[in-house]
Amino acid sequence: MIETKSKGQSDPSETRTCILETRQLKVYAGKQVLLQGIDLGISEGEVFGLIGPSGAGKSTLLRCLNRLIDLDQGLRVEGAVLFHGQSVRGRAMDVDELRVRVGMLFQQPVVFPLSILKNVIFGVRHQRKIARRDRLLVAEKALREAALWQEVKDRLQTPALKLSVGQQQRLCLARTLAMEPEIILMDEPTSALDPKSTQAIDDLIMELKKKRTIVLVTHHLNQARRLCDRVAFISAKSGEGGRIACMGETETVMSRTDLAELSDFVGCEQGVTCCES
Amino acid sequence: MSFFFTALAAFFLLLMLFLFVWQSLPVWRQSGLAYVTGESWYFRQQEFGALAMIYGTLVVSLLALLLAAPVGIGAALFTAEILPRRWRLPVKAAVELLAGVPSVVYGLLGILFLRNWVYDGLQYLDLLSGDTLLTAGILLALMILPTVMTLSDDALRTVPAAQGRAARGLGLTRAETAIWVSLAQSWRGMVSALLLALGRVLGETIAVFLVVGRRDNALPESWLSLRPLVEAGQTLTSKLGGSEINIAYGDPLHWAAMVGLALLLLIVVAGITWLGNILMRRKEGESYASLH
Ligand SMILES: Nc1ncnc2c1ncn2[C@@H]1O[C@H](COP(=O)(O)OP(=O)(O)OP(=O)(O)O)[C@@H](O)[C@H]1O
Ligand SMILES: [Mg+2]
Repeated sequence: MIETKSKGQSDPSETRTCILETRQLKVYAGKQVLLQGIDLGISEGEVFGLIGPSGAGKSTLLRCLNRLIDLDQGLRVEGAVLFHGQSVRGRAMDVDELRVRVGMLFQQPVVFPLSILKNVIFGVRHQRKIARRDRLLVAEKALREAALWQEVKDRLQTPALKLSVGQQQRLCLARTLAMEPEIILMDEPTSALDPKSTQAIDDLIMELKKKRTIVLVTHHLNQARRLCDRVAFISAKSGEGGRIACMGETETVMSRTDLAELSDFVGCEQGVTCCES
Repeated sequence: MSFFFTALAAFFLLLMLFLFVWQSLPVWRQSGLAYVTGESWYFRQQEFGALAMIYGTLVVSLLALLLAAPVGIGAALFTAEILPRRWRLPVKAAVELLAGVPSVVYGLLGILFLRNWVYDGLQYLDLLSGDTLLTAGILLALMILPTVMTLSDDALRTVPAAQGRAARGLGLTRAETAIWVSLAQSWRGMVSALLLALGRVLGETIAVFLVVGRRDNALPESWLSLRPLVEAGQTLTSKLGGSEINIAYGDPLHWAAMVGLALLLLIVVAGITWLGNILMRRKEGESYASLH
């Protein structure tokens, strides 16, 4: 099995503490297999990339990590997800608390039809009591961290829906950051954005990784190369469900040529990138 | 084009108002405002005060709304947020079926069951009979419950699922998401559902007629007293639906007094509808933001 081979590769980050781990994680939709036996470990402070073709199950995997998958009816999850060694799917786990500590950024920005300020503190004010006068401080801190403060500081009371899509995505990031999560799951956070906003998010991820752990799903191999410490390549043969085809240091994975699916994916992506630039 | 139809509707409404004002002129000439504030209605003495019926209508309607709103909205939230998605449509279809049941059927069911339940259940209050304002209020609540529920469900459906997912992703509990996302973004639809229901309740005749007791001049000693709830009363519609209207036809003043009741009803219903329209027409963002 290729999984065992990739696991066998020496992995220097394995010595660092592993804060999020999956063991034989499987997801089914009725009879259909969406994920078959995913094993991965994410260490503290790294940017972990998930790459792979469309429909391989990257988003599904990501949603298992903070149990957002529970909201999808008709999906069945098997196997274990461990957060700090504690089972995420166990009875003892407070799933709302888990989602505070493992934040999520979606592919499309989802802002609430409220003011910018209220959007930023939307989650955090349910998590802990914030005095009215402290709200601004909390919001400012999060907005600065999301590099949005300069653009919105004079119009915090205006509707967030008036922001550009790129700004909205950073607003969503600020909203998540305000919760002070340990891990941020990002599901193709830049796929809806123009190059400039993409650049802004990329820079942010570089900045954020100093303090936080990030799991990044991306289609762009260049983005993965620039940002990720390690990546896992998820592939799915039709009708079989996704599995980790290989995993390891970003450069090692990218330069592997012995995996047909991977080189197909890399080759095709690179072709596209060349044409673009 | 839509302006044309609005104008047409307004024209007919005005025509109707004019007709009713004209027909009820004699009683306004005789009593003036005392027609509205007068506490006694004895048509043989040519005494026409509509207050007890206005009171009955308001009490019954508010009661119905107060009972139907929490139950109907709660049920809508339940089907939208808790019930498995594949159940949502069958439940909605069943509820909409209930919404189409003719009101006379509700009235008969009221006579058959509700009246006795109220009488037996509140025995310790020394009821004279089960025909009370409370009975009418409960019956009306049951009648509008399907409407309130299905329209509230429609309002909840307009909230994108992504919004709820984002909120859950921020660690909000199910209940918090229901309040701060689902309800917060659909409350206007619910208010309009309630106003629609209120319009229906105010004008409902036959169901009320059958269980309200139709006792004239039933006014409480104090406006805050709850006692009249468990006594028989009269509403504008139950008065108009009764046989007195036929007696009145021969006597211009009595007829004017009866038509005046319809005029009052028309004004109240039009006012409610107008309020609902204003509420719906104000821009989405503003009022949602003002809720927070
Ligand atoms: N709730 C669901 N019920 C049934 N099938 C589902 C469900 N959610 C996802 N799937 C299927 O699971 C597979 C993986 O979907 P997923 O969204 O995880 O892919 P992905 O790798 O994120 O793709 P993309 O890169 O296009 O976002 C797809 O074939 C999808 O149709
Ligand atoms: Mg995806």
